[in-house]
Amino acid sequence: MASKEWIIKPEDRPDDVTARLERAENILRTLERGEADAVLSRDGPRLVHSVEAVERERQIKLALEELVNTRALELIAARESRDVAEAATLAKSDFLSSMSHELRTPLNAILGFAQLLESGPTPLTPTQKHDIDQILGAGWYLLGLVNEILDLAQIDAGKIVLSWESVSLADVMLDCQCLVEPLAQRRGIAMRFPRFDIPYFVKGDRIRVKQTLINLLHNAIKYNKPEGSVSVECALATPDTIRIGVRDAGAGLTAEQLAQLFQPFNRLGRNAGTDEGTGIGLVVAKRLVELMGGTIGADSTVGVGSTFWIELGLTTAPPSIVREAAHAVPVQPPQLDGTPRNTVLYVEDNAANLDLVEELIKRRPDLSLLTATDGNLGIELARTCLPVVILMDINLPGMNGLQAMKALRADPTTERIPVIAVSAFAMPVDIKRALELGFFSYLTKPIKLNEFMAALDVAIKFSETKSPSVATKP
Amino acid sequence: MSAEEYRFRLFVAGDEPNSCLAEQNLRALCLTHLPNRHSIEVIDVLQEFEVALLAQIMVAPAVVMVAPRLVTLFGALTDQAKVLAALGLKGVDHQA
Repeated sequence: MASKEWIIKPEDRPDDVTARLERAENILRTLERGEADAVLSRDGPRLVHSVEAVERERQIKLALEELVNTRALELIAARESRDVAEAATLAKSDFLSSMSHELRTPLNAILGFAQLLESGPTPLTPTQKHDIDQILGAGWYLLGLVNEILDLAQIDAGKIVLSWESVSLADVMLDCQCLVEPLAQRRGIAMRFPRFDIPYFVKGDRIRVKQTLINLLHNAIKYNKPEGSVSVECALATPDTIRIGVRDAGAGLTAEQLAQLFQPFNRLGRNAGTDEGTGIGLVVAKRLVELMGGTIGADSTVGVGSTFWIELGLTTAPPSIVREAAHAVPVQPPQLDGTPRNTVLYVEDNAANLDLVEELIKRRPDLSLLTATDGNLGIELARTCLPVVILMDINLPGMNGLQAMKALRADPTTERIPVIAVSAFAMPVDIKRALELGFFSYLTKPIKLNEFMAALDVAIKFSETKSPSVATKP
Repeated sequence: MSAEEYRFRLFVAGDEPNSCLAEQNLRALCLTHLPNRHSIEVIDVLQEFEVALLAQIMVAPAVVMVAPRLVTLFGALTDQAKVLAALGLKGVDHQA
């Protein structure tokens, strides 16, 4: 087979590829026309009309043809792939956004109404409580699954945005401990957490670090032996990195199983029961850890147990450490002091969502609700009734929530009314855009009762502290 | 303006038929269109094939116009109009 070594080297022509293609074509034509006497290779010249050389000539022709075709295809492919890649990224992004919305909207109804039932005015019978717990449990689980899948898809599409912080390991560990205790107790697994004598801070996104650790802890609890234990161990891997290992006393993994670990929906043939966990946690964990510049891995001995570990870069403490205080905001109506009711305007086309908010507002004797099913009507009502706060669904028919918002801002009568966005679009890019446009705050569906009430209160307070005579600059 | 010197390197395969044709055609073309303004170096690839390889000639006959610009042509050079066009010689002043 004719080697490709001696075929077409760059000359002193500026337009390299085209010239080379032309040259190859010329040689081919010459051979085809029978105008060639000899062909040259590293081994020497061969006369074309000798039998041997005819075969060689055929090989040269094939090689040259292949070269011409390949290069032509390369040029076309390079041009096309750029366009295709751009289109694909755009399509993925749109798909993710609308999937996020489509999945969250019905979940909002399920979780919203179940929460209403649970916290309703009449006490529930034990059977009713049990049934509602089932609905809520399944609903939250489904939401968790949706979030994980969308997370994975988002990471794949290169769209995840992490915040770079100094994350206090001690704090994160404490949070994780609280979150996994219930599961550990249910399963009869003893948990051992490290004590931090000196504070360690890792470089990364706080929420994602927590997410990853919880995933590893859940797995360690699930894949354990009866009356087993889980130990979390921290040690410096290098002066700049720390290794956090989660050791379990489970059945252990074979080398083959270890190799398949970080693949989606591969539970390695093991059944972890119906508890939390969706089979894609490790894949997400791996991607997140790698996005934070760290590594993840596992060691195991069959019959003894496994240790799943992550290594993250160490950093110094942040300038001022603000502890997150987890407050439960009670769902109670505020004090009635005879003040007239404030009007809330909700612009939403989905009947179930409207029902839900109607029920929520019914629990607020200080508020009354106006509704509009499209943007134009919403603007009209806002102008005539001047509500104290507006709840705006983004995904409306015709004029969308963002456009309605712009119109409200542009009108001097309505520009000062705080508008809260309510939407099943939960992608960071959507939230960012909305806040930039002037939305007061952003509620994502499925709505959490407490968050909803709190957001309303903040907006109403904002409204009340602004006197009409003060001109606010946009 | 002084006349440009057209320099050619003709690679032939001994006295094989196409090579003889190529030499004939090249010389005729030069005499007609570039009298006294050309030089032709003939290289037999069967004798000096390393020279040919260095010049990246893979098939003979082939002619490389070295000056005034670099052009490579393969074959017997039978279509004179095409050859002239490729060498950029159409409309060249035939007088010395």
